[in-house]
Amino acid sequence: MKDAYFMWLQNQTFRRLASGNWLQMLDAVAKDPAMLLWLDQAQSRKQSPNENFAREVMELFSLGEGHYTEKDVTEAARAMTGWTLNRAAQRYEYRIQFHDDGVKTVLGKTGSLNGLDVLNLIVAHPQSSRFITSKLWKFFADDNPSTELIESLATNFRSNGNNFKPLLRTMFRSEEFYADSVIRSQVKSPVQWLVGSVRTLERELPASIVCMQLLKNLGQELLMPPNVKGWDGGLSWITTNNLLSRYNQAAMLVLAEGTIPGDSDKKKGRKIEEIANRMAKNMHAVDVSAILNEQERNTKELVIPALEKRFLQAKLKGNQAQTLRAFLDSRGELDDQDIRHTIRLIMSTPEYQLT
Amino acid sequence: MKNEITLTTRREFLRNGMLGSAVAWTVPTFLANTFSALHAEAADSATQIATGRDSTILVVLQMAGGNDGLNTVVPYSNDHYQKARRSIGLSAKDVLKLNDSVGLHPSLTGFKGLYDAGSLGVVQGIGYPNPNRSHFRSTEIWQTASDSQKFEKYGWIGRYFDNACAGADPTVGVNVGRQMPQAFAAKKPMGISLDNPQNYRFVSGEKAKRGEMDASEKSYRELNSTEGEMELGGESNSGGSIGAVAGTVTHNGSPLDFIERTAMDAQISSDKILEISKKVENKASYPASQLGTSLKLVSRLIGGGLPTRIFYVSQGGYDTHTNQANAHERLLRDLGDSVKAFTDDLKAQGNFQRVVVMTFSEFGRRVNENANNGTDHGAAAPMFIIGDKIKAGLMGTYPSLAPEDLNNGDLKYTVDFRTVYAGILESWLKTKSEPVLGKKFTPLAVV
Repeated sequence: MKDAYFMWLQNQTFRRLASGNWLQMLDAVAKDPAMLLWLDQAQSRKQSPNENFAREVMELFSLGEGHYTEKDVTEAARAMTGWTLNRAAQRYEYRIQFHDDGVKTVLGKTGSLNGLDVLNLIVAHPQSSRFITSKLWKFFADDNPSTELIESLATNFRSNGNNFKPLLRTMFRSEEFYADSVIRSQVKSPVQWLVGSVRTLERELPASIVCMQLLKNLGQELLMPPNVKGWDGGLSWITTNNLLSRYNQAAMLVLAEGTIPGDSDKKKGRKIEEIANRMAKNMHAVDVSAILNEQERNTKELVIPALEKRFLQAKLKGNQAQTLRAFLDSRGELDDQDIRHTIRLIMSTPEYQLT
Repeated sequence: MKNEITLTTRREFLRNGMLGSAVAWTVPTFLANTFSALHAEAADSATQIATGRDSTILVVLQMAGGNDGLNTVVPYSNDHYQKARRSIGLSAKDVLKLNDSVGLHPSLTGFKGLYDAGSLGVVQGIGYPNPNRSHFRSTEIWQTASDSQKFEKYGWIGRYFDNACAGADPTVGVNVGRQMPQAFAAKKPMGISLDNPQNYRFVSGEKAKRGEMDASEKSYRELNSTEGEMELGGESNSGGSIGAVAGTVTHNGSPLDFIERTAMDAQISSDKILEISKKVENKASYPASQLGTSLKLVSRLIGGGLPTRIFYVSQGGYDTHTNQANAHERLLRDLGDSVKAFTDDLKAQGNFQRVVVMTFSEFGRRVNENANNGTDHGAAAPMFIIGDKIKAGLMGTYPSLAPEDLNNGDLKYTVDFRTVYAGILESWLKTKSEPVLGKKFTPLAVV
């Protein structure tokens, strides 16, 4: 999906409904221009229904593979016909002449089903509440929730009328959410890494074109997920190349040094890279006094513990702490630039990539 | 050859230590495990780890999205085809004929040239039993070489590394792209991901004296290579109690372990990658596309002597549900021209005889076009094998297009893709295919 405006609209929809209702969310996303175009629903006609959306809504967004049949896909595609896009107005439109009002059977229910019926059947399917609560748990907590945990979250979700807000409240207040196995078990996404780093460094976000290029090098181009499923996340954020990019771009955020290497072979891409690098030159190094107090800034013994607490909320491993101490010692009298280099080094560890 | 580069293996790297000192040093637990296991495996391994200038190289090229095989290798004289493809069908006068019944898409001029030169093989009717029509699941099946109903954790390339490349340098596998394909997933992950060579090194931001590593970079290397839990004193430990260790070797799988390992691989490979990518020049002109750029980089890495056995590149956009004609024509032109440029480049280097390119796509598309001048998810489709030493020409049987022979409107496969993998593994990578593929497949003689 290359239309940035439609992708932005979709993002607005997600934000608007993130703490709302599950059916409303599915309905709104299905009617979003980005989705109507991306999965070809806009072009589906009763003479030849396009299966793309009908399949992916079940596979990727609500049930998961194995919880519907190929027959459900073709029948749901028939039911969805009529949901289309008014291109001039850039919004959803129902066109009755495109709709197949014949009898279909989807997920065990037979009748003259329409698009909303399909979404209702999906939401009523017990698997859908497991699917979405598990997805939320994995996003906010960790990758390996137990079946019992998901079952109990799914039950909670259903009993709250499939509303996200009470579910999230339950999740965030649960003991499981604060379990040792959950803490620092997730890889920061590039956006988490950038925004989190900027906050921890008490600095402002770089110019948006700089952020865009930084994130691109880290493997997350905003509004440009690799496919309609979105980013895979987790360990897949970490490759040899992306990890080195994180380490190098830490230098830019902390020291205001370095460039943002680009790899574009196209003229337009190179131009963007050039502008981003020019904008990056206006950045300033981190203000150490915003991070450490006067005493910490002047005492080698205090610097490392203070930085550990701020950047890792945990102790460095013994030899890592020794390495940093040796680094500070190699530089003589302690100054802010030494502290900045130390911060950058802490950000250049495997540990800093976790949350 | 002056520009030949010998890479340190993980083992040598550990032995020598990051800073070249001989003092006792520490390694992460998972590495220590790997390290001990290497000896166990090396002892009873019949397969020598072949890396260096003479070994063969496989380039896997993924055509993501489900390529329309019917409009790629076109059965132009088939009436069922012409009937099923009234608006987007290609006729006898459009195609680049391979024989009386099939021809290549007109924009595949690059491939036609290779075909005529005896450097292109076309395996027709590729698929697998009980085809899945989900992009994600079907890609997973191809990547893990599993049966359609089975879920495998590790990829087929990863299992090749586990079985045949223990102790090799991390650059034994190179993925050009931002995300590691599942095919690389392994018990002991190997291989690096590379999409931006300029960013493939630690930039310290300090001015070091000529020929010296500055304090910041030294510290980075230490921070990313030690854990402090396991002391390993020089070589005396290296044999160890083989039986005991070999039995318990598993990647413990915590995210931190994974990142530590990646950090280590990045460190070992970065200096060489940068050196090569600066030094070696391309000798052919490539399309300015993602695929072209990727293959350009692969060619430089091969030319620079990186000891890689498997490269992985991909090209996306084949999910042509609507208005297929223009998009498909552009994609295939890019594919043919990029691969052609790559082979020209390799020839100019004198490396063409060492390299085989194998394409795949997660599925083909439905025989009948849809109402939007596009095609929906289907099943069987062709694969291309490119190289100097490959079996050129058409292989396998084109599946029947007769409506009564179709499976839910899709072509039935005639060749299991795993027989192609088996052929590549046995004849090209010179390793037994059964342990890699999990069961016995009769290797198809593609090489």
